[in-house]
Amino acid sequence: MIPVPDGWAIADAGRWIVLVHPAGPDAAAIRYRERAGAPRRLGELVVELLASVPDVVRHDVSSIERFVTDDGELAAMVSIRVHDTTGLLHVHAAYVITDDFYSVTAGFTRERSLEIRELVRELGRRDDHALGVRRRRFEYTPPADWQPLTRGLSTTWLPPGYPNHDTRLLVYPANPMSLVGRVDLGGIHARLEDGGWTVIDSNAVRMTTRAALAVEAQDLVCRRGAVSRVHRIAVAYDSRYQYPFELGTTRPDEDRAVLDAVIDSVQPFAAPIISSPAFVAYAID
Amino acid sequence: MELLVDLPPGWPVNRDRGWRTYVAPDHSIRVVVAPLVERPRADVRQLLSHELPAGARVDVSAESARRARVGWEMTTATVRVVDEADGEVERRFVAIYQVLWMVGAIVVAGSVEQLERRRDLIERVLASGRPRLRTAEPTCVTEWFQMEVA
Repeated sequence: MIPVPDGWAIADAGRWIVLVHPAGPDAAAIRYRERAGAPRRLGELVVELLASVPDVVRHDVSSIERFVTDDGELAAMVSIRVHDTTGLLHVHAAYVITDDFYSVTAGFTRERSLEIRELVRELGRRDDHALGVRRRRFEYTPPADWQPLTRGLSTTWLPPGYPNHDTRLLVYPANPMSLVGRVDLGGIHARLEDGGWTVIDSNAVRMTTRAALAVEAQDLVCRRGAVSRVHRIAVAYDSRYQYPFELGTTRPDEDRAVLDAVIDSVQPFAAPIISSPAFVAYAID
Repeated sequence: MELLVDLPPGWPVNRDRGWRTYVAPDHSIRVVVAPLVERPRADVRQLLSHELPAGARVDVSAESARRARVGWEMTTATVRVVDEADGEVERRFVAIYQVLWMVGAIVVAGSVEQLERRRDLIERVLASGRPRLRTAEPTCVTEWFQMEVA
C-alpha cells in the first residue's frame, strides 16, 4: 500500500487505484495495483504495463534501478519513453516483487518527467506490505547453464551434463532464526545414514562471503554400495536469517567450487525501516 | 519444460499443442518431438498413433534400452506403419526418455530407404534427447529482476 501524496486526488479505476496530480489528469497520473499477480520477470511486467497504454508507436526502456522498500521487500524501477500518436509520454514504474505477488506503482506524464520519476521512486520505497519476518527466497547468482527445478520456495539446480554428471545443488529459502532456530548441521549425518549411506569422513569448513556473511559448512564423504558421494551442507548467516544450501555430488572437486561461488553471491536481506504506517482509506474521497 | 533435440541448422519446425515437428530440407524424413508429460499421464499408444494415416496401424518390433548422451534412460523401438493390406507405408524410429518424473519421446519417420540413408544422423538425433527444465516462471530472485523474457 502506498501513501497518497499531498494534494493528489484519488480516483477509482477498477483493479487500479489512480492518483491524479493536483494540476489535473493532463499533468500526471499515478496508477497503483497491490497484489497485481504472481511474480514474473520484470521484462514481462513492463510488457504488460505497456499493453495498457493506447496508440504506442515505439518505446525505449531504461536500465533497471534496484532498491529495497522501507519494509524490506525487493523492488526495482524502470523508466519508459513511450512515443504514441500524440507525442512523448513518460512512464515511470516501481515494482515490488515478493514470493507470492508483485505490486506496481506507475506514473504517467508528458511534461513532468523528473517530478513524477522522483515521486514514483518515493512511493515505491514506501509501498508497504507488512509481510514481516518470514521464510522467503533470497537472492544469489545461480550457476551458469545449470537447470532449475523449483519446489515451493526451494530450487534444485542440475548441471548441464545431468544425470551423467550426478550432482544436485539445492538452495533452500532463507529462514528467520527468531522463528525456526539455527539449522542443525549434525542432523544431516543421521538423515544420510537413514538413506542407506555410510558416512566415512566429515570435515567442517568455514568461510566468509563478500557480503560479510559467516558460512558454516560440513562435508560428508559417503558410500552406498559402489557409489561414493560428497554431501556438503552449508549455511550462511546474518544477524536475522540463515541461508542454507545442500550439495550432493560425485565430482566434489569440481562442484564444491560451484557451490562456493553461489554462496559467495548471496545478498542478505536489508533490515526494514520502522516508519509510520502508510494505511490510507482509499475508498473515501 | 520440453525435450530438446540437436538437429542440423535449417530444419523448419511446426508447433502444435506441445508437439514439435521438424522436416528435413529435402523432405526425406521428419523428426517429431512429443511434449514431456508426467509418467502417470504417459500414453505410448497415443504416441505411436500420432499423425497415423487413415486406416493404418502400427507394428512395433526391436525394442532396446540404453542411455542418451547425457545419461537419461532411453528406450528405442522400430515401428512399421502398415495399411489395411499390410503394406508398409512408413517406418518410424521411436525413442522414449525417462526424465525425472516425466516421460518424453522423439519419433523419426520416413521410408525405409530414407531412414537407412540417414542412419548416422538419426542416431545422433536420438542420442541428443534431453530436457529443458526451465519454464516461463522465474525460478530465483535474480530472475525477477531480468528484462529478458523467457
